[in-house]
Amino acid sequence: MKTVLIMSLAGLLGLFIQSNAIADDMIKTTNETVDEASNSNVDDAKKPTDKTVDKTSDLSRDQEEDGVKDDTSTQVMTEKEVEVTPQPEILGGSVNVYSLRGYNNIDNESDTFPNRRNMVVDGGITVMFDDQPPMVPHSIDKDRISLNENTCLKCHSKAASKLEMGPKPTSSHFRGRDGKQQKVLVAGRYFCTQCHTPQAHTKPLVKNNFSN
Amino acid sequence: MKLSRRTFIKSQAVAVAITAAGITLPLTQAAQAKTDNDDIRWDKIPCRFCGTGCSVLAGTRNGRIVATQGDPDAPVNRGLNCVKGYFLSKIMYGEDRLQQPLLRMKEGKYHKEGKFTPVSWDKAFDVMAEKWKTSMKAKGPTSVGLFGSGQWTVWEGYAASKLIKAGFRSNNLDPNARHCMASAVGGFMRTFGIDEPMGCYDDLEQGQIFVLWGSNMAEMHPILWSRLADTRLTKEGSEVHVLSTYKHRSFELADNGIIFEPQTDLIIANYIANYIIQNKAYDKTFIENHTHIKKTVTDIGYGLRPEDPREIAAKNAGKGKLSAMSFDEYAKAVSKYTLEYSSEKSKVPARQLERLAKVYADPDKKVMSLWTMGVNQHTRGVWMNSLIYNIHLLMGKISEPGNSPFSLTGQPSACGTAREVGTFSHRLPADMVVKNPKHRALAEKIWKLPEGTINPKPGFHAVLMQRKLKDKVMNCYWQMCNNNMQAGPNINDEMLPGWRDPENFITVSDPYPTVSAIEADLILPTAMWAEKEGAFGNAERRTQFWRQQVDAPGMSESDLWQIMEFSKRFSIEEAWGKEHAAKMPEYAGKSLYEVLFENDFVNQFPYKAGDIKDGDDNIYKNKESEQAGFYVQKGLFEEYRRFQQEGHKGHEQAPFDEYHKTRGLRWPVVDGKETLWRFREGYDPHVKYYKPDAKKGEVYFYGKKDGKANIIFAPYEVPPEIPSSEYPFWLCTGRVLEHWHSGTMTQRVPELHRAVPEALVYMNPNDARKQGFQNGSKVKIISPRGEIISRINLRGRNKPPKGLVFIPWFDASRLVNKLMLDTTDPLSKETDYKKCPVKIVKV
Repeated sequence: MKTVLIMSLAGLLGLFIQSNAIADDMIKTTNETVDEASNSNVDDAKKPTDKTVDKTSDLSRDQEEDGVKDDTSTQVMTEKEVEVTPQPEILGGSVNVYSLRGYNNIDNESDTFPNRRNMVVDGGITVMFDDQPPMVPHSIDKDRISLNENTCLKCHSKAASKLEMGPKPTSSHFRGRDGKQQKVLVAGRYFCTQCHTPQAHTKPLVKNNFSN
Repeated sequence: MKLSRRTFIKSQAVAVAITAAGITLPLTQAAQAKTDNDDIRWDKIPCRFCGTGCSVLAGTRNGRIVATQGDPDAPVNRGLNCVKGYFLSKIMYGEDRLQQPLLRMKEGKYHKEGKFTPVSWDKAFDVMAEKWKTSMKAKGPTSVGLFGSGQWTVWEGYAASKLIKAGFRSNNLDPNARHCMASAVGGFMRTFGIDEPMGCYDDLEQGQIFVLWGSNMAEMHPILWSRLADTRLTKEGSEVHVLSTYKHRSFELADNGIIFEPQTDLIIANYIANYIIQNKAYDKTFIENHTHIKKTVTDIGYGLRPEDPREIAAKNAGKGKLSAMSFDEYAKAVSKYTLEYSSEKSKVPARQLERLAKVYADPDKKVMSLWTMGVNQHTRGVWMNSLIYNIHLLMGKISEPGNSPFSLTGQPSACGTAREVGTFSHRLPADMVVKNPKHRALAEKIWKLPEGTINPKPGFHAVLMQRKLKDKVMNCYWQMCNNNMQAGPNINDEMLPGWRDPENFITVSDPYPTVSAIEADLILPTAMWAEKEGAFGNAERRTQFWRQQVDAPGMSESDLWQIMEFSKRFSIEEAWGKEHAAKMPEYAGKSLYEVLFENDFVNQFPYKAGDIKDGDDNIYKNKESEQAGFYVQKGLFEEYRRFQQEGHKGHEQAPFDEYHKTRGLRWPVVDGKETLWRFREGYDPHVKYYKPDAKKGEVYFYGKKDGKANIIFAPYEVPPEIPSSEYPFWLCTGRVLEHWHSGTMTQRVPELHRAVPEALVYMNPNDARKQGFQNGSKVKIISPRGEIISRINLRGRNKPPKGLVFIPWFDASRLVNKLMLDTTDPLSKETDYKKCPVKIVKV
């Protein structure tokens, strides 16, 4: 219904089609995020527990999930504005805006979260782009880095990696601030955890659309 | 033509060598460049996060950032990033980017209880302007205000300052940097009369002994930490001393890791001064020639509401007057801080304190002191900053390579924008203040305003704005580029009531729906970082520029455009009042926009699409300039530079175009050359300007009229609250390495979220056992102002002593700063987030 209306107004509205589409995207986005989280058995951080959540908006979300878009208000507003002026002030129906707290507003207690375990991934976690430091595919709870020891290097030093204990640091780790390659690990790279961190078993709070 | 990463590095290295005459940067790592994907365009851009100011190379393809890498030729980071920096490429692509202005509406009209409804920019600004006009008409210019950011670009801060101070004649403009380094500014101004460090990051290589006073550099300034670690691990005789109220990652490198009782850093600093004097280690000639000795008034309160009993009880609430004292009087004043007394009060073993004092007192040891929030977010933060300078001044260990008291800054442009542009409620550009008639006159001359336009009374600072909203003194509030609902203290008592008052109109500009945004009446979708042309100034006085790399999504617009566009809605008569506007008849009927931005200076640089190119003829967009019809950023920056040239000498930056060619320059930039160490002849050209007969190596603190810095005695005073039987634990809040501030960007990067998904309660295992907690126990943390629920961590990166817990504040689901009292340093008005009594119970 809405699609038809927008199509017929395309000539008049020009730019604003895009913004209507964006409004839809926003609603969808929020739903997907919530869905992802609430479907998860482990992560209950985003389950709708907030009693103050607007029932009508819940309804519209439910319907949208079934592929039926309930956006009467958007339709009416758009139509009305077009009659008055070619540049509508109101660009769509009301939307729900959620922070990273999910359905919980500031007054409500936030949802609790389970104790996290770190991912253990054989063969490592995929690197997404050049120069991305690989994430640590195991727990490092028992590792220590101090003036006296760096237990990461037990498996990740050049020597250890020859014994195939773990991947060795790339050549960048042997290049000093002066740009010269050296035989030993650059001291400035001594604290591995500045770049390499373990990953907990949990879903993203919000989908990230980065792609390369 | 696309520029490959390899050729980019080459061309930039040459440009740097030419422009920063005398400071040639070796072409270091081009040979290491990876095989380039030819359709990716690479360009330099400073990192979006902390005050370190690393440079990255942003790779763009088809209008999107597809990769970021450490910039090998950036002197700050030489190709290295921290984990946040490596994931910069993802921060703009969280799926919930705001893309339309959203106004709370009911039945087609704005309504406080209405639902967010997408509206046009015109509608958004019309409603907002009407609110601001009504408010100003009823209660005057102090009823409106703007809360900005140390993450604003330089020109955003400058335009905001013009809008509020020149446009609305209100001084209600303050940055979130108030929460972060206002005490550092206070310390600089009182001790040296001019803001920002005399040294630079080169001290990290030049130095020998490093002392961290209330700074967890390993997590908060990782790249500087990497440089410091490099020195510590490779240089003979190098040592690291770390002072903190709990054990954190920086202790991993510490030769002398000191855990002190909160607030007793005041005692430790005075003890070191006492040690130096008792052992006659001080540099008598330096003290006589280059310092005055002063004392500050005491019992100054805690920056609470004036009716608070603690403020009433304070003899000199809010006072900062200095009076002269002799060296002997000073020696007597610090003599109370003996080793025994200091060790007992601070709970630090005597040998550790003595070891620290000895490195300062040894004339042959170079010492670099570094500090951040532990010193600044302190109810005696200004005092504490000066107490550290005292030690360096007593020894003359200052303004030369390796001898360097260095106040680190938190945000990417806390220095460049908040401090240098002066977006504080009491400041003007280049260290000038609204109280000073000469400073106002210069601002009015440069801004082409009639005399008396700028209000001589400082406006409301960060915490005061919230109180004034609650008290309905202020009715319109615009928050940009920060998330104060998560960052600010005591939101239940002092922030939410004002935001939710139907008489008040709250606007929040942000790229993402933050907890601030969802509490606003109007949300404005905002372009971020690489979506606009920008400039940041880092902690070592380095100004760095970048070009607009990609378009912002949907209807998003930059803060700069928003500020300028909003000004179009006000006639000069509406903004200034008819009477004042009549003083400048040529402005009659003009809009504020025309007076502020089309003033025949800002709009003097023409712009047309295709003008902005890099060395390889790649063309960059500049949306604001396209919209305005002139090169907005250049016009604003060149006008801003006039404050540096026509005011007190010592703040000069290079012309606009120079910065697009370099990896930044450290001001003062004189004859195209940057300045690495200030106040010493041979390093700083201004010494000869102020003292023509200065000999090589001579120090002259030209921020003060007679070239002498102040040694300022300040005693220990108790904090406003201390743990009790009901609230037995100190709570300290802060950041973690993997997240930036309130997590708005980093919590939307899946890898960073998974690295640290929630804010945990770091606690001492003995305390936990006593309370019946184990690692992972679910607990409620309660202060008189609110409560949050989280889990206990006993094995992680932070290891508090008995009686203290640490909780980071990045997590929107655990708004820990609401537990904090809205107490501030009475002089700097900076909030203390480091010590608040709480109780913790099992859930």
